[in-house]
Amino acid sequence: MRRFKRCVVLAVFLGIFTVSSLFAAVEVTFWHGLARDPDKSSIDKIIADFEKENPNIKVKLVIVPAAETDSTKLLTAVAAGTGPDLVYIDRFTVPQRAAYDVLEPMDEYLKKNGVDIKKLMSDFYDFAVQECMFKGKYYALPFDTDVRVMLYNVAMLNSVGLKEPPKTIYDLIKVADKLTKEGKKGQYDTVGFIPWYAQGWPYTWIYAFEGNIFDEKTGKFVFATDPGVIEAYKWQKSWADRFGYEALNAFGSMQIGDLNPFTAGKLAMIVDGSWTISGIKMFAPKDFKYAISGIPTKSGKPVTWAGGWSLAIPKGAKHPVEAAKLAMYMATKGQIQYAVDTLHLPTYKKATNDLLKVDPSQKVFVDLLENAKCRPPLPVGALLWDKLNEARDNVLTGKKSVEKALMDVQIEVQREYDKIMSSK
Amino acid sequence: MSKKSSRNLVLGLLFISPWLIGFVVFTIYPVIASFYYSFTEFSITTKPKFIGFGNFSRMLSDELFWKSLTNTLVYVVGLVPLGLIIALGISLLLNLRYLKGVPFFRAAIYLPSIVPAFAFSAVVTLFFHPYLGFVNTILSWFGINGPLWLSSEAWVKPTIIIAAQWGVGGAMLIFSAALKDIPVELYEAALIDGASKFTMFRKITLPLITPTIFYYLVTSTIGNMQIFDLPMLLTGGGPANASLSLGIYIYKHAFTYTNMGYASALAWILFSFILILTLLYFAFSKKWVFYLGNE
Repeated sequence: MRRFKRCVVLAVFLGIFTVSSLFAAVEVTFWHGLARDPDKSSIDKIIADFEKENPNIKVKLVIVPAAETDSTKLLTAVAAGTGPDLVYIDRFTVPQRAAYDVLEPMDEYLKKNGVDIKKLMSDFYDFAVQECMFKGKYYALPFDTDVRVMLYNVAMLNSVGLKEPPKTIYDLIKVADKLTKEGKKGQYDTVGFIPWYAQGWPYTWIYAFEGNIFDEKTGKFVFATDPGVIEAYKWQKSWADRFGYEALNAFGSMQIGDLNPFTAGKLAMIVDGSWTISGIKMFAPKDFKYAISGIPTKSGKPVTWAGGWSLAIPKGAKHPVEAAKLAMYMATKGQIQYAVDTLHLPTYKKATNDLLKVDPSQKVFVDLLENAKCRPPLPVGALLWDKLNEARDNVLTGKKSVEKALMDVQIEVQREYDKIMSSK
Repeated sequence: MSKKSSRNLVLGLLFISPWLIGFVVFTIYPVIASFYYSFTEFSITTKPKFIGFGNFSRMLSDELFWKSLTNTLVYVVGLVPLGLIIALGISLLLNLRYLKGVPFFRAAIYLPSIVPAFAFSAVVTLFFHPYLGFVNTILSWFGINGPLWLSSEAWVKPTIIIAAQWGVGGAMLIFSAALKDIPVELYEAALIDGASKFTMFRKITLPLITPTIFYYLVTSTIGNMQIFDLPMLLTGGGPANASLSLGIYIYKHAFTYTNMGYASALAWILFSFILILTLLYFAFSKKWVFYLGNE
């Protein structure tokens, strides 16, 4: 009798096992690097909603830390054929990863999910779509974004009789002159502005001077001889000569996390990212009054550039069709949730309304998105970024002339670019 | 070889096979593979393309290669002697016969070297902070206007060299052990002959620990030629590439710019430098390394 009971139990278990394996869900592995809240819990929520909508797909979330241009784990995993099905990746590196066969084009997988790609892409801001493309194919779907603006200390500007920072770049230096005061021991007590500080990257000033980096038609880099780029670098050099490069850097190095000379009320103006606002609200003194304006430019018309992240399918993904479905969900509905939860700027146009409902103060950033630029979407993006910084350092420290510094790195970047394009 | 001994050999190899397999798969194979890749254009995920000595000739005109190489040599020239002096100095202090609580001090000095570099570099950043840091605050009490440390091109390498001494514990233990091995009779005999403390150190202690010093020089040079974690975590190679080591440069090419071929070539150049330095050490070692009982 007992043996019979055992047999029945066994049979029931076997039955459940076979039936459940017939309806077994496809498991999609998703790597992301968002280990902190509220980002992490928002992703968890989006995934839970997705699974509810798609009971046949299970998502396995793996937190894999990765810096912007450094995705060591992804590269080695893809090379070994053990990569995930979907990965959260810095958007400006997408063309580079695409060129090196780290990512798969998504067009076909999206089509298999019945997606009209053209229509889908028109739902995102243009700069974000550009970054997801390589050689006419889509290698990622855009996720969140950010913009750069000028933040200024209201009281400090009022003290020199100004309501807001100048709109044009050569007026900026006059204002900065008045606001820069030396304290004891030759150190600065207050500083008006440091062009290369915080988000004052080479791209910020190249765009402010309407410089051109790359000529799409000829496939050649042109920045070393472009008048706008040269002027952007010369302008920074004149700033360094006037106030002292080392002295400004010493002043700027008073930074620990969200506490910096700006939030301490010592630096009047700063070019920084939209994401720093929450830190300022949290850490700056209660009576600290700041306001936002556009980045000063040569023409006086504000300019900004946006970065951000995206969702891509690595080479060798086991369930690319399901991964595309997940990417599609995250980039659209997911972005609405993500914007509400984390207050990150979305690339999905429809999500901006939801963001503004929870945080109306972000309107200034949202308004900038429509005309925002991005870093040139090229397969040598990471190298170009480092090299433009290297050229700037060489100029500001007086090691090289602007023309030579730019030409030296242009030759190097062009050689890498040609190498990649010829091997494809 | 007799049947029995060859059977023993096979059994012995079988017993160490987990290590052997790991050694072949994770060390020998990558070494050989990187040698091949150093003659190719390779980006990890694509097929390598043979380009002969292209990567090596590229180095000749690569400014950052020369910069990172000289930076690395500065690190080695700073780190190796300073580490020797500090480790030997501490172990001499701990060897003083009338010092109480030696095990406590030994543990306390060894402890920082097991702190992960990541956590340690967070401490270093605050410690050497130009305005808010501990070091410059102390200096300001004496009216000294401290340098910018990690933010200054001129000071960043010295700062890293000083900071790296937190890891001196390992070498200190080795020197302590070497000092303990010196027969006491030698000192007693010297004392009877009326030798001074300094003469005893110069004529007994120093000659008898030369094998340990030699060992330290070789391993420390090999290790510091590959310096990576501290500069990477503290400055990422900056400012203006002043702290960029060859190790960081290799890593950047391998994983940021995806030039695995060039990175492999750089790695082999680094290896050749290490090999040359090590061979030089061995060539000169006969002149000054003294092995007890080897007369």
